[in-house]
Amino acid sequence: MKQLKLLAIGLIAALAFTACSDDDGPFFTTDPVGQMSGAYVINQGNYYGGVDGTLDHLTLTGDSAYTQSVFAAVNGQSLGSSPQGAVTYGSRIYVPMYAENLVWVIDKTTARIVTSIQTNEPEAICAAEGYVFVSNNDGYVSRIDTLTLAIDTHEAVGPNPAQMCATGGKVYVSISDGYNYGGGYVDGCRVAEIDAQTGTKVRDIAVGVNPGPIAADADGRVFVVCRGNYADIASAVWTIPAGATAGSELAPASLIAVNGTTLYAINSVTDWSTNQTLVDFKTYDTTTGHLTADNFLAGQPTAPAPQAININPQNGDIYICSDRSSAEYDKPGLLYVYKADGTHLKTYDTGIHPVGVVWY
Amino acid sequence: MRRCALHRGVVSAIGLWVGMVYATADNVVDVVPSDTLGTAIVVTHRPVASWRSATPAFTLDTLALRQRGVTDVGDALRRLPGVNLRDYGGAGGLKTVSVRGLGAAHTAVSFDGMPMSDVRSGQVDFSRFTLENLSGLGVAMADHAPLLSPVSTLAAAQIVVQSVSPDTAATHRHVGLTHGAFGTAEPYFNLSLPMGHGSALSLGGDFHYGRNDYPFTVFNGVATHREKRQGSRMQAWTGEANFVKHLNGGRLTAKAYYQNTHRRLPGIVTLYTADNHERLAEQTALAQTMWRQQFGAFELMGGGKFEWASSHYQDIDGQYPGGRLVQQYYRREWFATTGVAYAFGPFKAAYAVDLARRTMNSNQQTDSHVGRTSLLQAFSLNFTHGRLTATGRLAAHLHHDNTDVADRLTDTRRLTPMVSLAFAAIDKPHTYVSLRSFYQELYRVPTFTEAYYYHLGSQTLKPELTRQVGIGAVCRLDRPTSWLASLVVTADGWFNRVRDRIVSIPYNLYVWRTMNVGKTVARGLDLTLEARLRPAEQWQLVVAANHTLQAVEDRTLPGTIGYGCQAAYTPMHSGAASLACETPWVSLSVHTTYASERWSTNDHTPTTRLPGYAEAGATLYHRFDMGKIAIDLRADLVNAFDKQYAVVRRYPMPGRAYKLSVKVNW
Repeated sequence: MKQLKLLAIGLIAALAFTACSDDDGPFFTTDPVGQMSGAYVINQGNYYGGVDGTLDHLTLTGDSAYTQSVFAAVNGQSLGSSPQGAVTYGSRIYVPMYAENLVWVIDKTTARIVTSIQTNEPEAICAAEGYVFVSNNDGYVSRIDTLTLAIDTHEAVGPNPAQMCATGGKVYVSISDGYNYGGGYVDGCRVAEIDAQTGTKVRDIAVGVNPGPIAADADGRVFVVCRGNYADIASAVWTIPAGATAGSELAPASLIAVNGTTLYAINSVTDWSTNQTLVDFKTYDTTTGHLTADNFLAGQPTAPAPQAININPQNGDIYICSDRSSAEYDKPGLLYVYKADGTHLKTYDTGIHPVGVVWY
Repeated sequence: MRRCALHRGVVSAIGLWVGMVYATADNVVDVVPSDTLGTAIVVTHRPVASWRSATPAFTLDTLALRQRGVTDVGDALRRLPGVNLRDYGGAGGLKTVSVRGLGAAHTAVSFDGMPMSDVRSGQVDFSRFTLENLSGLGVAMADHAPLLSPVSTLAAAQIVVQSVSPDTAATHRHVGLTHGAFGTAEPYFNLSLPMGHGSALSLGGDFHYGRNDYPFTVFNGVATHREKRQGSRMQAWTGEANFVKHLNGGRLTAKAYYQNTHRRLPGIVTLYTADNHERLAEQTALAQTMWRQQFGAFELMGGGKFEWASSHYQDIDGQYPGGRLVQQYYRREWFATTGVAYAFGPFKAAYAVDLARRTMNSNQQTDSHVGRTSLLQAFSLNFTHGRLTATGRLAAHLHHDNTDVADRLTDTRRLTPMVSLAFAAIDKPHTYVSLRSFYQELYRVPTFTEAYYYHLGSQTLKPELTRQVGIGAVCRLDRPTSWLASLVVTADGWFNRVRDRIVSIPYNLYVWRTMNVGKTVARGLDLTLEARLRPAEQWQLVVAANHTLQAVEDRTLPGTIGYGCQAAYTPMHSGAASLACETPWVSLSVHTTYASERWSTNDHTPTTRLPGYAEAGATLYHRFDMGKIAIDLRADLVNAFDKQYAVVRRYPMPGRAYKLSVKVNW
């Protein structure tokens, strides 16, 4: 009987196939969502699946409404492929789009497009001294004048610059040499320091293999995750004292964030033969390097496959972007929000593969 | 046997119609030279009509390809039931297939009866084949092969590619030129020379050039715009020689083949930039031979093959050391097969053994020198009595890898069974109704990429396991009415369960990981219909349609998003239909292919959705006989309604296009 049913369905479908539509890709409305106040979550999408990234919005006042794909809803077009993060500066948000070779400039209160700035494979972004700095994966850092919204300097820093942070009038860029894995990342292993006022590179600071996520504390210390070689050299956070010419290894970590003099370190290790991911959350005093909490989120719901950790600069709330598991990189993710003391506040459903949060 | 003889007689008498008959299950083979429509010469070794087989097999030969208006190999694959084509767009775009919800690596490809494999990626790019020099292309489901066959051709499904075989009876030559939209041109030739004593040699070749700069729409809400595909120029040339010698009760074939391709890869379409600098140059050279001989109740088989292939990939971009990423791979394959079959009473038993050595070296870090030695054996037993046919097969697999790195895959050993049963409920001269069923187990070892590729491969991978069961029915009517020459209807249902599915997951921009995490359950129904009508003298209508209904569900992690959803790039409904009207003056074929909505991942959201599509085309063709010369003219209108669609998300297919071809035969 089941076969007959299937046969009937198949025959009907064969004779009256009408499942076609005339469009390809998302269709947007252009209704504005009005004035907003809160945070944006950047979802990277899935480049290999042809899935664009999205920008979600979280209202921090009132009912903490979470709105997915706010960029598309407001602007009537897609954000594009492979957003890498974002920075808020002045009245705008800047979003580097790796696969689109551009940086979106967006009004932070309306999510409307102000303009886009062409650049090459933008990987990360930060702001300082009236400028926005973009690391390009081809080895350069571009500086955007936030008044003219044009690139005014283009500085060579080293192969495959990864993440950026700014402190004390300087911009720090981790140089990964990530595509030179065959050569052991030998041209990386450093952090480039750029003078924000001139846009020129000042010096290199030696760190471990394959540096990536980077952050600075209130006193100008810089912390950078050296991701190792994904084999016998494990991922660890390194510390660079202000003015130092070389860093030193502090502790195992794969993601970091800093608030004041507290370093939040997440170490996420996946056993790819079992698909089991072990995640630990620790905090350190940046001034001493001492461990202050061995299991910071003990007893709280925790992210199964963290992708980024960000701290709300206003109140110290902790935001952790996560996939649902290491194998679910191509599915909608999760945003875990904790109070500064580690108490879980709420978990939100995000777009596909969330990679960062910015506030305004 | 009486049925086979009848079939042969009909085919010989009405050579023009040969193409519409599903060709033999036995790819040993029925050969109908494409230039012999008026005087078909059918070289038949062991005709076993596919509707009599216990497992489904469907073949499009030269005439069927023409009558269905098939324009290229990708189009041909979409006309086969159960075949899900992954087409990255345009001439030269990568074209791989999965059959009945299983991955490309579960599909064996046989090229003139010998297995063709790519141990590096596990999938064969069908864009390498040129229709003009093929005599047939088909799909055989579930271990459907002659009882005595190379063990490596046994798989969940087998795509059968058959070159034009030399004709031992007469000299045939053809030259042709095809020109199409978007700067495509393809000259080709074939020369078939009888050499006496039942032997013949043929030489063939083709050259293909395409700019492939077709326009398409980038759908992006208010920013929707038109673009032309950039960076997709390609050229390829192929040369081959085929030799055949008919022995007393046997047949010896040999083949030498070389192909050279240069392609620019347009890459995935992004919304705001069209910057891509990828290039791929590939070479393939192979030599193979196969011998089959009948000695009374014994049948012997022996064959060998050597294949060499190179792949040079470049991505010119400042993000790479030295400004470019260069990946060079060289593959070699030594393959030998032999076997014996013995018929006794209603039984026939066969034993075959394959020994293969496949190696690869590259300029990469961890898969620079890897090799795999495979010993495959199969014992088969067939029982035929009256209307009942039963076949059982037990295959033994042994694979051993060697590498220049410390870790390698564990040696794999496994026995996989297959049983099939067919019963002819009605077996009359003009009516045949049969029921068929099968069960089989299959597994595949990880490809070299999955096991060893730097920052992706894992040496802890286990083989992927598949269990498959199928049941179907066939009905064939010959001349049920004066105007209906024949009608063949098939319906085959199937169910697959895959565990330890091998999946690669991006860890970050640079690093992927490969795991055994996937489980898949698939069930479906393949329907085909083929009818030949004779409304008037010298007029013929040929109707052909196939439809596949398939539910292929991810069952990896219960409770997760995507669990139970239709698998990525697998339409619930897909198929094709064509109507050919052949007259003494000109023939017309109108045709359509379609697929329902699909998703680019197992997560079903608007951002992963690909809408369904139906595209239609038309073909005009005619042969002008001028004494010793016959000229085939053909004009194709492809995607007549300019339907914008994509098989793979962000890889648009060409819109409306034309194709003109002329072929001179003498």
